[in-house]
Amino acid sequence: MLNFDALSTCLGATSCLVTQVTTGLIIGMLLFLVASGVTLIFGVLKVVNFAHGAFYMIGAYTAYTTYAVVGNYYLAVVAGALSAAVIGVLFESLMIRRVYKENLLMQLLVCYAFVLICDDLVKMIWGAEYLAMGIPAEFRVPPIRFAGGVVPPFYIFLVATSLLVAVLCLLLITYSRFGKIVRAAAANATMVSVLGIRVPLYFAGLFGLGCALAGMAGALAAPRAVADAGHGLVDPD
Amino acid sequence: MKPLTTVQCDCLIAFVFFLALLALGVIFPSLWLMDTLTALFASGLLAMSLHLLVGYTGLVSFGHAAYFAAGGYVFGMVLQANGFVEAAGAWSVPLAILAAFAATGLFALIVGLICARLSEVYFAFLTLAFQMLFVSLIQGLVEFTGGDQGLVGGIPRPVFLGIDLTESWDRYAFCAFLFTAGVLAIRLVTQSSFGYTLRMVRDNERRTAFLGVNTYRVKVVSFTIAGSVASLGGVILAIFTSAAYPEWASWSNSGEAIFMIMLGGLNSFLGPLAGALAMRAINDVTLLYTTHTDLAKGVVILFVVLILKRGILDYAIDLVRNRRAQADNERAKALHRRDGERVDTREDADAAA
Amino acid sequence: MTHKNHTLTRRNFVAAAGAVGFMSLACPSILRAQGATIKVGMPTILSGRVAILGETASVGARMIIDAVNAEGGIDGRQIELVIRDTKGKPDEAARITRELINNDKCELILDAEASGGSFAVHEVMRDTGLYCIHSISEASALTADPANHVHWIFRSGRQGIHDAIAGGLYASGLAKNGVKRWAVCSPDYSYGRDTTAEFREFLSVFAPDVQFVGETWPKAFQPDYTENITNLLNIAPEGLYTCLWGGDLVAFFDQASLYGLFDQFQTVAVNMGDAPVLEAIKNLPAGIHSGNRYHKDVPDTQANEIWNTAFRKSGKLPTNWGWQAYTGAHFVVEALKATKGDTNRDKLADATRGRKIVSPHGVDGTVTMREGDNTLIGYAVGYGKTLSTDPHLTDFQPTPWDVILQHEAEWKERKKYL
Repeated sequence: MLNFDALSTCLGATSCLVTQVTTGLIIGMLLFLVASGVTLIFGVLKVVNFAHGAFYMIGAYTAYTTYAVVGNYYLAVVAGALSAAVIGVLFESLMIRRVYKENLLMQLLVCYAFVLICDDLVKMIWGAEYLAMGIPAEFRVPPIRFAGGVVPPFYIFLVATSLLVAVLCLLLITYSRFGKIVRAAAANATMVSVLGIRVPLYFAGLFGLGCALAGMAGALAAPRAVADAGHGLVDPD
Repeated sequence: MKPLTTVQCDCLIAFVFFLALLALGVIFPSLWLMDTLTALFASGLLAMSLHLLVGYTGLVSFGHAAYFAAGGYVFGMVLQANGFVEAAGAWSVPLAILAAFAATGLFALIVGLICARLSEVYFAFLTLAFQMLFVSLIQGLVEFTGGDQGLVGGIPRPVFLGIDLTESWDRYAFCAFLFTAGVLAIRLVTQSSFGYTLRMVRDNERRTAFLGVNTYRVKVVSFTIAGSVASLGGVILAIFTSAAYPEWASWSNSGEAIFMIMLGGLNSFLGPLAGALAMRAINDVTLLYTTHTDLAKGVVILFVVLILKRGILDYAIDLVRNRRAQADNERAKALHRRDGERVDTREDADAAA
Repeated sequence: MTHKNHTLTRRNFVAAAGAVGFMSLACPSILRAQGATIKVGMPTILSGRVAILGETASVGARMIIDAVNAEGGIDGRQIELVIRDTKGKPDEAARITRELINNDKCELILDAEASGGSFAVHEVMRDTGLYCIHSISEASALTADPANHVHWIFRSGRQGIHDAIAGGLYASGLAKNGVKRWAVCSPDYSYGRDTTAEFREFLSVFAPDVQFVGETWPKAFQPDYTENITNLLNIAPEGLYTCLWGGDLVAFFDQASLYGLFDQFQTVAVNMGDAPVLEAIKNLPAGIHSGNRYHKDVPDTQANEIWNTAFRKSGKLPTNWGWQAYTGAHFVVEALKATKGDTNRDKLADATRGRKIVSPHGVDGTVTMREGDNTLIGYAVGYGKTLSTDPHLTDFQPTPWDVILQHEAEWKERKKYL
């Protein structure tokens, strides 16, 4: 609902502005991580990964368990990203690879099936009830007051991490050998394979990278949300 | 005797189909079967009408459930309206169905006029946006639609022509009739010359336009027809549940319809129905053993897509056709080859496309 | 051409007919014989974010039915509870309930649906005319509105208005201590809207000088509450009311704690006091005001303590849904005992109406199915404050039932329900 009075009052006050801007940043950065995974995959492989939400979920659940066992949030994030990557590579090489040439609806169907299976497996492993990870102890501190606004330190960490990962990804795709090969393969896969490069391997790797981003976003966001099965498909809204 | 025309033939088949449905109800007088089939009629009509867009016009609409739900809501709201039943008396149910059909047609026409200019992905997402708009409309207008609680309080269904929709047999028979009528309507459209224009638009829109066809108009008309037929599905479900719910217009309902089409077969007229049946069968059979229906659904879909590589009905038809082609081949070898005899059916042409 | 086309259609048709045949074969349930057991159907939510509702409701209902079966059942007939997942969708609830009746041959229904689905089940039960007890839905209109009154349908759980009166009374106590400016943050669907409106109505009745200065309405299952939280920070009220529940409440609290929201004002969260919520919030702020939902110390009796222990043996934490479904099953069993296993709806309804049963959840050790509007009274209602450690809820103030009943009657008059 639009409330222009509130908007104008808010724009006039620094405190409100600071709070709102950081709020926008935090939501934006997490969405950005998820979206960049989708874009990365779509840009190179020309396939829309409708099942991207499932990897977000996998990341969140793995992070939950890792945190419960190890008690270290940073390790939990890494574990979340890794598990999503591994399952992503499997998903690519066993299923998605077979429908690259098919029409959009066939790809959608494969993703839908994957999401259904993931949701039920998650339910079997973790149960259907919601799980809450809780804010890690190191971030259970009072929010920082800045120019009258309120900014939780945990969100500063989230935004910074997301930014860092984004920059790393950009560098990887632009400058690394992996990035160059993948981009070349996207332009002309046959030519690249003639040069003796195993293109399918690189495609699987790229798919895994995209999924890792989603898994990482899920793991990063895990402390502030409850994890529950059934949110695998990319929500249209 | 003069051979029947296509239209007559289709009508005859539809009539026999309707009788068969009635017979099924008589032979197995189980409430469960009738309820299951009634629910299937509703989802079947949703999928079949969407198939007119996806399969025949090449328009992938992600928002088809909106018209389905609109049918149910208009039907329910008209009958619940103050004084309507008193005024219309025995004609209230047919009038309400007509109102649902017409109002949904108008709604689809408006959306079609706006969306049909767009291509593929944009079309899909704009139709989805309209569906979401429709859902928020339902949820917002609480006084009229009951908001997220749905259209509750029971829908009055006065007796008409001796049909009492609160009786399970009458309800089943009438829903079977509505269903058959809807399927027949789609059949007639697809077999008409307009139906072939639709296929041309699907296969090559630009070339069709060069032939002097106003492809925009063709798409809008197709969208409107599909929307109005979908509304009959909503009416069936509203008769069945004596209510209407915003979930009917949810995006997952639209998605499910697309999956039914793909599962059943994109290239056969009855594919969507087979898909609806298959979805339901997977669900019910799994429930006998475990609650993990999603897992079973996922595995079956994967099997269909990755192993069969086409819908179930398409696969079956291809199988039969291959076998027949082989038999033909052998006969031809035996008789020596005769020219000009091989008649490709239109369905063949469809399948090839 | 025409002819060819015709055969093809017929072939399609035959394929479809074959598939129908397959389906009837694949579902042996049609052929399943009806045994001598009394089947009680229970549509509930077993998947999605609210799965815990159905899981704990099932435990509650099973507790009593298993006990009766162990004692030999009703006149030698065992009771079978048939539990089905409705996924929390009203249309699915309607379909499943019909299926329970037509396919599984359930003779009565113990509805364990949340508010949206309960209205759908209500319509089906009105249509099919079988005995039914709603055990979960708290929507006041379900039984209070005469338009929904059906003499063979009952409610064995909380009625929203009872909690609203208790909440209003409790919050007016806070208002006397200077908490005058209130804001609300409740879920944006009918349960949230109605419950919040009822709370506001009664807080204004008990403390006419309070002001409602802002509101924010998160959507169902919203993953991010930052927008609502910052909105509340801007409103800067002295008191906050929320009827968010389950996973949504946990997520909201985790996110709001980051902003130190709960240091800034008094919070009344009616649905906080359920064990799974209290134990899921890892850093539960102390001093949140909550309704009792189900709590092992409310009422503080031996019977409740025993019930709590018995429930936890299932491996699940006891919930409000658990005791409500338990109570529903209890009424079903008592009614069946009274009719000697006859499932005729009018006989069962006569046996249920006005019945008082011994209950660990009643304030005086009993709860009553009130005549007139077929709803439960006499259960423990009240508010307390959260603690970050066990027992999680302290300073409990029960609301006396004479007060509740008096205000409920006035409310019904205002609503023209009488």
